[in-house]
Amino acid sequence: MKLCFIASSGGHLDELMMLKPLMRKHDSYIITEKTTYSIVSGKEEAVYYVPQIDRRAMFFMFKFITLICLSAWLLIKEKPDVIISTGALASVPTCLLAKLFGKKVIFIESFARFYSPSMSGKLVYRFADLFIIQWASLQKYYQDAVHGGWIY
Amino acid sequence: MFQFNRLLKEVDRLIEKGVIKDKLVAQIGSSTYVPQNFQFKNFFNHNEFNEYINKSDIIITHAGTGSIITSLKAGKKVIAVARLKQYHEVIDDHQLEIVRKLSEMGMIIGLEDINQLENAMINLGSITFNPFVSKTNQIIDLIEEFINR
Repeated sequence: MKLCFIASSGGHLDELMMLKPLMRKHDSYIITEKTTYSIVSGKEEAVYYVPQIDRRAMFFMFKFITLICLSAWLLIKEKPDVIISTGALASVPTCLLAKLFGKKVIFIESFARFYSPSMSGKLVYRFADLFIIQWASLQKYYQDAVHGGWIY
Repeated sequence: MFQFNRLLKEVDRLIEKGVIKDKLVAQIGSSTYVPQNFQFKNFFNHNEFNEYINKSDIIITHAGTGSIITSLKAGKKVIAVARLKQYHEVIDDHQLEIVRKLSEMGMIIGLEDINQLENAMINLGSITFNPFVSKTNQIIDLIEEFINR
């Protein structure tokens, strides 16, 4: 069982790294955005960096297309069985492509989302095999989601 | 990516005014304002970051969950200020939700308005916070059970 852990930078990556015990237990690798600040030492698991994307910035479409290509290439290279994502948009191409390739997708909605769903959450909810919310208040937006409690 | 000059300027002002008298060190990220009254660096590495958190008593932070939770787990008093979309500090106003929720739970002082920082610093000593209790194992077990089906 090979696991792909994927998250955008910042809080998303912090949340993903809370799953370290899972990473240790299984054959795993990590995908995250390239930034100047990173908490991932890359010593135990392989870490791949994708360009940081901001849906409101200039050249977003160009970067997003690069991201889609990179995501596809990494899926072909690593052949994971399960994708585990803590959001955000940077993880969506991997989740979608993996699903199309017949893999399982687990998405954990952000700890910061108490009152309203995230955009990447709403997108991935449509096809995720396991969708986890950290706060019960989101159940009305994600009826099939499992309330997992805090990731921290 | 996003600056948070508003917070830095206010901290500078509060030090000048004498409201903040303790030693202060800051990680300012992508902010462009240059602090006048305290030590700062754009980014600390992982070890520096944890060292500064551990050595501190009070953490004043943007309302990013990573910063807040790391500080709470280290047993520190936390004042979190929400970045706001209208000032181009963040992609959307999700930090407002964070400050409201965690303040409601009594775990932090959460501020939506930078002008509240002065009073927060003055009143900090008289506030008791509710402790943060980790629930990571619950989610890990949930995922483990699912992938083993």
